[in-house]
Amino acid sequence: MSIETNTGEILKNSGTFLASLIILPPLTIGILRKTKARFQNRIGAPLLQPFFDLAKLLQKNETVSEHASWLFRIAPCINLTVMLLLSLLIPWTSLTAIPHGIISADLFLIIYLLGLARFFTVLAALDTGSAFGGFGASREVTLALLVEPAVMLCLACLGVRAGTSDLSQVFSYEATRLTGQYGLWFLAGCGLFLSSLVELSRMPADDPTTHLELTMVHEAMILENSAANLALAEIGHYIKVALLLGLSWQCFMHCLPSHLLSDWTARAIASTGGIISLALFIALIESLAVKLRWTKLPEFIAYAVAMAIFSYLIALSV
Amino acid sequence: MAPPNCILLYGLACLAWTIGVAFTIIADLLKTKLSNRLALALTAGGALSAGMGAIGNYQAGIPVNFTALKHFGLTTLSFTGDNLAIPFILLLTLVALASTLSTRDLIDSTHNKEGHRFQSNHYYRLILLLLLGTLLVLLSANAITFLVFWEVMSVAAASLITSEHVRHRAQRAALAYITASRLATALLTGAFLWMYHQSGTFDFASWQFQSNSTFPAALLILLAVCIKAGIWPAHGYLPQSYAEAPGPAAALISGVIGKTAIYLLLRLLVLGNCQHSWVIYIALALGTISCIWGILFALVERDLKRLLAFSSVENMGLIIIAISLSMLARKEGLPVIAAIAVTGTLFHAFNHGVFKSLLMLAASTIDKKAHTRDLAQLGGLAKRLPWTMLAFFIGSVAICALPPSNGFASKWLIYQAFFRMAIESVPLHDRAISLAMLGILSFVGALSLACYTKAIGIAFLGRPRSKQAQFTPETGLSGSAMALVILSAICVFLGTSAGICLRAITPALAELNGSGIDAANLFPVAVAQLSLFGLITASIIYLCILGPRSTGMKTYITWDCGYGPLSARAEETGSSFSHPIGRIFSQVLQLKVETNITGRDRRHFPEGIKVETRMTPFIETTVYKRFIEMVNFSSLTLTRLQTGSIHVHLLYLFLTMIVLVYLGTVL
Repeated sequence: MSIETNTGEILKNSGTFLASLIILPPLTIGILRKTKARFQNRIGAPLLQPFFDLAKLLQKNETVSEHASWLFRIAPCINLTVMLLLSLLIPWTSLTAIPHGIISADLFLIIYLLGLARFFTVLAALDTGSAFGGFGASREVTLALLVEPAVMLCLACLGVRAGTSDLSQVFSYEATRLTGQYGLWFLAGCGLFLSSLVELSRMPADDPTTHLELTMVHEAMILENSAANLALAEIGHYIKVALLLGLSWQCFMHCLPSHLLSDWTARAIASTGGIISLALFIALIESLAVKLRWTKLPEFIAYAVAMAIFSYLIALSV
Repeated sequence: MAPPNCILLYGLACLAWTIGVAFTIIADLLKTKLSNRLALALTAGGALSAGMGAIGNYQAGIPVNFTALKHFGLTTLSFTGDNLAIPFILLLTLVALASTLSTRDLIDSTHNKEGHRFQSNHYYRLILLLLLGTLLVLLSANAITFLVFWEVMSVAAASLITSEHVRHRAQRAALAYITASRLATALLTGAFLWMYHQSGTFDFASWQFQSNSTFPAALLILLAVCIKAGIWPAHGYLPQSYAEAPGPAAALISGVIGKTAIYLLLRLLVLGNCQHSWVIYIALALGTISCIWGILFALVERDLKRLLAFSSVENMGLIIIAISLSMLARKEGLPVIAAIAVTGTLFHAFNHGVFKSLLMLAASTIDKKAHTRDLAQLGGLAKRLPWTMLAFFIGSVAICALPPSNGFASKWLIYQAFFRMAIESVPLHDRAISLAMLGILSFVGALSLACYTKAIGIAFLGRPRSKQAQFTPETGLSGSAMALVILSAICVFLGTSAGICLRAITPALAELNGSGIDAANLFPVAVAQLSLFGLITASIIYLCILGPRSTGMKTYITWDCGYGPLSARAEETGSSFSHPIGRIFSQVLQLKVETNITGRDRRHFPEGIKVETRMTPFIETTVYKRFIEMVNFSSLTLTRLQTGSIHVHLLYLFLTMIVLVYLGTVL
């Protein structure tokens, strides 16, 4: 594909992209929390509370455990960097942040960059020698290894049907070999959504609002982080939420009739609305469902794997 | 550079090592100790000259042929240095230099743990023999030459494992290693004889594996390679032997010796264009099982070196998978996929050699300093061994195949080969296998991430779990730390500039694949640009957000829930870290946890808590044990034949002769 020459187009694309990258992740979390509060008959914190929290955290002085090594302060920086890189690579909105042909959004690169972020997060959790961090780290790697094959298979099936491992081409809105494969898109989307519930430490897998660290995954891992360090870890996590929800929403968006999404604005609105509606859906799940017992989680993840296997069968058969 | 120079350099390497061996024998006869410096200089000099030979040989166009050095029974002792051997010789050079550099720090030349005198002459002799054998294995041009040096290599490796022969574990490990290498040699000899029967020559270059009649030989070669490389179910000897060998030797054995088996598979089956689907699918199946099996056992392992050895089982499985995929692709007539898979194989074999020897040396450093490799005793080493920590960290990033390391580049190639195979219009079962392999490989990748976060997190982070881990910190950059830093720099270099390194592999690829594909074009991921961008972003984030706050930073205790100071016993241990995963796969691992709580009101106020985890590896306890019992039983039965009476033995001779004469007349 040729590099787009239209400067105005590029400016519009990257401007919108930058705005959505800055606003959307914390806003998604804000909406999620607000909806949950309303379900519980509370007023809840304002929608923009995550922004306020981050601003407050960035001004505070940090406390670091005496047992921590250099990894502890490096890890959130690397984590955030990887998430920023991924936001450029993963097609989580209908926009293309970087013009085609400069850097290919390779599927395996994306999966392993997610792995790199996890590697640092887990090590930072183990670094302080806290029992909670260790628990969280151990659970994180366990969940990751159960979810990873599902994510890989869902994306690989789409890639195999499209004939390329470049996700920006797989998810492009031009006519590809995947156009009209509604079943495959839907199943892959379901598989990715269920997997991201686990990867993002949301409800059936992990309760992010509990006050019992023994039961937590993500919150237990960042228990020792404070101030700017915590803010960086949280921003990284917010971006990850937006990226993974956006990716699964893009799958669902390809199931919609294509004439609805023919122009740029419609797609941009649909992408944004999709991420927010998935956040609302998660809030609904979290209000109605309970956190599963740790030993029951593999059964839940089996649904995601089953979706991946169904899309595997479709990808092979067509 | 002209080919004769390479002959000279290879010859020089052999000469240096042979002189070294001779010196150690003379020193033994004179009852003195060979000076460390001289022995190390000879080792390093030989390695350097072998490496320079390989570089000179590189793209020499024609294979360098050292023909007919001497008549050797059935055939001439002939060598050839072609492009395929070069990556492996370079790996040998690199690992040999690193292990030489760290020898003085890791080998206690006066006394070992049990207070027995360390026999340095013996040690150097074996290391030199090991290097000599390996180099000549890589240069062998025919089967007989290959077998001779293969034996030299195996025997030297087995003897190195017994360096601390007073330990029972070392004895058992050496026995297991010997058994495995014997089996491999026996299978190889059978295969070579079969091929001699088919082709009438022992020359590797003229062996082709297309026709049906070569199937038994191909299968035997595959099995022998699997045994030597430690593929499931013959992986049992690997953890024992790697753990018992002295540090620098363990780096060589784990980094290079296993790769000679891979080299043999490439030289014979891939160069010989093997088309037997059974061989291909058996290789694929065994490789896949050993991937999963190896990393699962690595994950629950407590001993750091055994953990690394089990992870070798996984990586060897990965390499075997890639080789079988390349054979499959070539059989289906897809040269590009075959090229990707072969490049992945070569690059991963090289990379694994580099980072596995790096990790092995780091584990030996820990062993040397803390006198234990048990993860439950370690902890907090990041403050005591900062350089080792850094190197181990980079090595782990590489072995988990995370970008921007070299492991990512080679694993990406293997993924990409399977991905393209699933796109092509090949038979449905091949596409199904390829697509499923993507899922399996990502699962294995996630397991290895869990395994290495455990290794770093438990050994280096947190706080010390025992007195042994509270030794005095390392000061400055010692020899072994230098070797580690160099190896980790190579890991990063190979990863970020994978294009350049792959271009260097291109001649070997051209030889294996016969196509003019430039290997650098097979890896289009812009790792260098991405890592540069990432580095800049991360530095900006650090300097702008965390940096200014460093002055107001407060150091405080780890949060203790208000219960007062935590002891190291409250920390996560290696076993508890891997326990959730161990429980999910308890059927494979046969993991049992017994908890015993004592005390009057034992639930709320326990007086004593005892938790014991037990793991009975399925293969070892059922298959191997039965097999060993069978061998013991049959040898006990057979001893009855050996009466010790000369008359009976003469009778045996006579009977054998009659049988042979009869066979000669009939056949």
